[in-house]
Amino acid sequence: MTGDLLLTLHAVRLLGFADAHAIADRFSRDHSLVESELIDAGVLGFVSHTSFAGSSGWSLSSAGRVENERLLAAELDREDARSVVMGVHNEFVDLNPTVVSACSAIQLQQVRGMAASGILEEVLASWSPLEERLAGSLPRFAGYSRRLMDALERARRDSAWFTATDRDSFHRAWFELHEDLIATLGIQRG
Amino acid sequence: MAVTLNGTAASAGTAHGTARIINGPDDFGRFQLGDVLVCRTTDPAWTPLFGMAAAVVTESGGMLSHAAIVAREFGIPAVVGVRDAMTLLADGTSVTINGSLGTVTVAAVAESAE
Repeated sequence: MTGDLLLTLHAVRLLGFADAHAIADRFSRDHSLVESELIDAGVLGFVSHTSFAGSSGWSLSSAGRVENERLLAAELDREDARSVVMGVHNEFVDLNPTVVSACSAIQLQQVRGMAASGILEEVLASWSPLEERLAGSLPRFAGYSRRLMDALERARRDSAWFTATDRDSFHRAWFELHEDLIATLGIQRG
Repeated sequence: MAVTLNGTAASAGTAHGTARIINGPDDFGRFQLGDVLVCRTTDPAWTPLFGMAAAVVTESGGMLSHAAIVAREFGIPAVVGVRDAMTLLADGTSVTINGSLGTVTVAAVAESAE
């Protein structure tokens, strides 16, 4: 079913390299169903299962990326969501430099965690209504605000939650959101 | 003759390794532990490569790019915004990356390069 293939390929796109459970969990889907879809997508050359960097998982091939973008474009048309996503993306572009700058300042120890947290909380306050607007057209976009809020909450006790790559840190969720928006609109990363 | 390419210093430190020109996910299998990742840009799919890379060189991006943040997390040098890096650096070439100065130095180059 096309809708399912869209969510399967898109979960792989957003996670980059992940096992079947993580891919199923990304959109709260049935594990065995998603595993079966991944195997079928592998036969079609859209995904491949490899052992890589000490772990094994699924990743999107170039053909899978093209198919993902074709399905996303069809979804935009079907749901009449293009103008909403474009509008939200434009506002995201205004917020992104603040996030990337704050994350860099944290890493380079140019700013204290509390101050960085305040900056990112403001960004989150700006993002949350945008996510509501987005999810009103495309429900699969729901969840980023909660993840970003959780990361900030955890960062109060452990600053690694701002930028770490081994957990669902603020930057990891934000980076994924950025990828989600540009993938949905078919924009090439600059 | 050594040749140096310049970009933006995005993640501090120096490293030496084999330049691996990676166009996209289909090339990921060629990447070996300790290689220097040379690419146009990165997205979340590329994060595992950072865990294997000695250093990262990208053609696009700046000090405040996602690639710079991910490189800092892995503690590896990164030079970003190196114009035409994917064509000026040959795959398999031995390179030295200085992520503090923003330089990519090729120890020996083909005669056609300057």
